[in-house]
Amino acid sequence: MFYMDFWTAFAFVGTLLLVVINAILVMRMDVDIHEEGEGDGGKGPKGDEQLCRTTQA
Amino acid sequence: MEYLAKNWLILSLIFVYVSVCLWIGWFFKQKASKGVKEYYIAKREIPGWVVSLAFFSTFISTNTYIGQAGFSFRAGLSWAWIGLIWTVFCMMTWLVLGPRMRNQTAYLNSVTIPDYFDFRYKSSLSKAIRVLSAVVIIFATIFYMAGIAKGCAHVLKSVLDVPYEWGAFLIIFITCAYTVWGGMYSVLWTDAVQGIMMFFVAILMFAIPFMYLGGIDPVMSRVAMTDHISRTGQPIGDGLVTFCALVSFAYILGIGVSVGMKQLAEPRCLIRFYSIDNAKSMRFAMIWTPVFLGISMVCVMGLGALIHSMATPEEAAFLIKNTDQAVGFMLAKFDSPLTSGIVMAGLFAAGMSSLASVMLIVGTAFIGDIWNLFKPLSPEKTVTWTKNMIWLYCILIFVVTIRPPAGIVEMTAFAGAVFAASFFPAIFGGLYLRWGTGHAAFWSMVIGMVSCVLYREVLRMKIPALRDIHEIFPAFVLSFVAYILISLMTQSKLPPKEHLALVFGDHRKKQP
Repeated sequence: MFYMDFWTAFAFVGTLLLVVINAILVMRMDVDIHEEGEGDGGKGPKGDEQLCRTTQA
Repeated sequence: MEYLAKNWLILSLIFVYVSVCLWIGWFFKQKASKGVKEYYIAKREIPGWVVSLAFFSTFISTNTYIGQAGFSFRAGLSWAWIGLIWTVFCMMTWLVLGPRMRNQTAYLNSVTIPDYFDFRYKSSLSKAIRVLSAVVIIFATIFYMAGIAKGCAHVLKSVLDVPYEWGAFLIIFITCAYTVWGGMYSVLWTDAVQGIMMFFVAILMFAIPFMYLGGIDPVMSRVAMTDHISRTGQPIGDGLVTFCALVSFAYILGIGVSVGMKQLAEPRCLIRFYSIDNAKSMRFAMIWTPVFLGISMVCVMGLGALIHSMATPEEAAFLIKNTDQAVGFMLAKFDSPLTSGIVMAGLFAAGMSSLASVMLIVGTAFIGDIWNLFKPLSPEKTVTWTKNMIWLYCILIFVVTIRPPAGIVEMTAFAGAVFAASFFPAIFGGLYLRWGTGHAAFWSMVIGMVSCVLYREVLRMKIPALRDIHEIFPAFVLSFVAYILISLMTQSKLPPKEHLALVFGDHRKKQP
C-alpha cells in the first residue's frame, strides 16, 4: 500500500484528513471575538496605564 | 572573487530575504513606538492570515527542518507520526484556547502572558505568578535561542563557509534589529513572510529526492527495500516503511507530545492570539494554521527516510550516525545552487521567525512584567526600555551561542517541557474554570517545574525502564491535579463575582 504498511501510511494520510475535519468543524462553529473599540460595560481596565500600574483599580 | 563566483546565487537570495525583513521592521518603527499596546501586541489589529502564518513559522524552527527531518534517516517513515501528533496539538490549541484567550485578554487589557495570570486571578499571589512566569520565560529562552542560533550558524558555516562566530552574530543581530524597530508588528509580518517561505521550502525539500531520481517509483522502491545498515549494525531491509521497525512508538509519542504541547503553553505561540483583529480572522486562522503545519510536516518528517534513495551504502553508514547532516547531504547531492539557495533562505526563515518572537517576549517579560511592578514606568519609557532590554538580552545570547554549555539541545527540550507542565494548567484553568484560584495557579506552576526537574534528574536518568517516558507526562499530570485540588481548597480566595463576569464575557452573552 503506497510502498509502505498501513500504519506508516496513516501518519501521512491521517494528517491530511485531520486538517480537513478541522476545517469542517471550524466552519460549523460560532466564533465570537471582542473587537477593539467594542465596549466592556465600563468594567474593564483602561489603556496603557494598566501595564504600568502595580495594582489594578 | 572565487568565493563570490561560486556563491553569488545563494548570497543574493539571502540578501533579498534579509533586506525584506529589515525593511518590514523599519516600516513599522514609528507605528510600533506609539504605545505599549502597539509595541507589545500590535494593537489587536492583525488579519487572520498573518497570525496564522506567524503561529506556524514561530512554532517550527530550523531544528525541525534539519534535526527532525534528518532523524527520519534513522527512524524511517514512521517518524511522520510526529507531524500528525503536532497537527493534533495545533488544532487543539486553536480550537480550545484561541478564541477564549483572545477575548479574555481583551477584556482584561492584558498584553503579555504573565500579566494575564495577574489580571485574571486577582489574588494575593497574582504578582508572584506574574514574576515567576516572567522569570521562567527569561531563563528558558536563553537555551532555546542559543540552540537556534547555533543551528543557523552551523548551516552558514557548512554551506557558505562563514566562520561560526560571524554566523551567530549575523543571525542574532539582524533579527534583533527588525524586532526592536517594529515590535509585534514587525514580528508578525516578518513571521508571515517567513511562514510562506517555510511552507514552500518544505514542499520543495520533499520533492528533491523524486526530482533527483526521476519519479516516485525509483525513490520508493529503494526506500521500501534497502541494503543499508541501521545504527545497530543490522540490515534495514524494509524497516524504513514498516511501522516502528526502527524506533519505538513510545519514543515517537514522547517527542511528539513533549514538543507538540508547547503550542498549548509557550508564550511565543499563545501571544499570537492577542493580536487577531476580528472573528472572521480568527476563523481563518483556526482553519489554516493546521493546514500550513500539517502539510509542511507531512513533507519534512519523512524526508530523511527518502534520502536513503540518494545515498550509497557508505554514505548511509555515515549519515545514520550523523542525521543532522542528512539534509545538507541531500542538497549537496542534488547540486543545484538555485535550489540550495532557496532552501537556505527557508532554513534561516525558520530560525529567525522563532528567534524574533521569543526576543520580544523576553523584553516584555523583563520590563512589562518585572521592572514595572517595582518601579513603574510611563508607557513611552516602557517601550524604550523594552527595546533596550532586547538588545542586552541578544548580547547575552550571542555569548552563550559562541560558548554553548554542554547538553544545550537537551536543555532546550527540557525548557519546553517546563513550560508545558507549569503554564498549561494555569492557562486552561484561567480560560475555562471560574472556580480556578490564583493560589492554584501559583502552586501548580511551582509543582510543574519542580516535578519536571526531579523526575528527570532523580528518576528518568537513573531507572532504565523510565528512559522512554518523557518528564512532561508525570510533571503535567501532577501540575494539573495540583491546580484542581488547590482550587477546591482555596475557594475563599476567588476574585469578586463582578470580575469573573467580566473575564468570562457575561456582558456580551446573548440574552435568551
